[in-house]
Amino acid sequence: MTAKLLDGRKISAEIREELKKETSILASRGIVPGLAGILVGEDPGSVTYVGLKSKACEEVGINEMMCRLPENVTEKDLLANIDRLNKDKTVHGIFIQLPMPGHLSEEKALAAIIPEKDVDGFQAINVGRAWLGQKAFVPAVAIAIQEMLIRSGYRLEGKEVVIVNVDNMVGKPLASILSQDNNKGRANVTLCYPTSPNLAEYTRRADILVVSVNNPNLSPVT
Amino acid sequence: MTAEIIDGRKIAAEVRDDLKQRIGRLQSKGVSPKLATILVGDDPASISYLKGITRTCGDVGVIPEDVRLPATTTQPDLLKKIASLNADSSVHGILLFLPLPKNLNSLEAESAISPDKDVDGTNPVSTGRLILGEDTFFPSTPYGVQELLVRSGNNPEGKHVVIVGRSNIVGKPLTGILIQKGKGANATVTVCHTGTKDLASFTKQADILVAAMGKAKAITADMVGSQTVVIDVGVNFIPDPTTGKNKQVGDVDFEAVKEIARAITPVPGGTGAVTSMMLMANTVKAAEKVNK
Repeated sequence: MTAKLLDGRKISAEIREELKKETSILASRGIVPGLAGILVGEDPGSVTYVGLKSKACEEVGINEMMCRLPENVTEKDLLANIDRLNKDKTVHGIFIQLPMPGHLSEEKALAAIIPEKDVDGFQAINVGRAWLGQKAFVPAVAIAIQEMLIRSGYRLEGKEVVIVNVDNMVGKPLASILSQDNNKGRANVTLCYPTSPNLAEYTRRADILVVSVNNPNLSPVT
Repeated sequence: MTAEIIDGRKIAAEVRDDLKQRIGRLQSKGVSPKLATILVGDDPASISYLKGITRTCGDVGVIPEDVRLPATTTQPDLLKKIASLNADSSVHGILLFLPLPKNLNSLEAESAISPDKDVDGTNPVSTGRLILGEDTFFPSTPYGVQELLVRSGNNPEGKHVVIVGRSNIVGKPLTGILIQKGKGANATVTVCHTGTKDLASFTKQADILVAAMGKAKAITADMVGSQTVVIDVGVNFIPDPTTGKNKQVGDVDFEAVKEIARAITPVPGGTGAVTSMMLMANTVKAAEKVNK
């Protein structure tokens, strides 16, 4: 039987409509959510991503404030810009478009964002809070997967979810939200490396399989 | 075949001997590792844990600082005490006993402990660092499980570890520790819990099974395979019909499971013996970090 295709665009449109309502409620109170992005240099991939984020902001009514810095910006100037955005009351979320040029420390830059504006959820305190089941920002890819599943009608409770990816952006945050004791969680989660011995034994058993290995030729799963 | 019994006390003694050497080197620089414990009120389980910690401090050579606050302590007073211990350079580690009396906010108090002194790894920042694979202090119970596995010759690298229980003090941090790319980790990890249907189908697949659900003798002989290494983190007290007193048992039905599994930890004398030693290891590490 051919699998049912989960339509990401349709789900995205649903979420967009919900967010529009929320931003209009905020607007009636005189608040416009502000998202500031920091883009250093002109890496073509990054420029594309930033463009997509700008478009999404516009669609839902978020004020997008890009901070574009030259390729050769010093760390001091970069951190000064983050500090300025931290203090700016019209900015509610800050993200840094990665990768950054080699002379800059991504770790330092990410750590400089105040946790209340760390909407990418990369900081240790947000990672820790999410893992402990507290209120936190969670990396967008992980929430996107959770939302796609739930909105497509797949309840996670008691399901066996096998995740082939153990990195900080996908595998770890996804495991943290799916194993929480709440209505969007309570799954049985297995985290595998792409190199885990007998990978197919795990993936065959899965009710829900999440793969993120950036390799189109990963040995076929039957 | 009867399983190999993994002797937690022996492993704790090995860790202790390593720590004594490290403490000797610190002392030659004029530094004595000190662990401050904060007990608010008089919760009996906390008092018994405190006794164990104080004894272990004595065995190893870590100086204990026993801070007691009355059950009527206010949140600002507790935070003030934590701040003063954070600022005290003679204190290297701080442990806050939970549960706190109900009028106090545990999360706020745990978050107030400096991550540099958070030797029990309960501050969310420490948890985050653990998950991200950054340098931090591992909570002592899951840290002890990892140490026990490695030192008993059951290195989890490449193995399928099934953890039953998703608590913030055992299941979740142990998952975080064992999935890291690194020595003594790099495992494939499955987390099961009370919502898991057909738990036995998972536990039977485990190369290493960690029982941490807090339910006496819940892992039975039919739930383990002949090649499974069983690590029992449970501490439960049930009446002993022969003595009429309460006795300590784990989450595993030890007598029956030991006839099936490849290796198993007893309760007591298994993971518990290693746990308080790992708290010492963290305190020594904290002292080393500020006295490089």
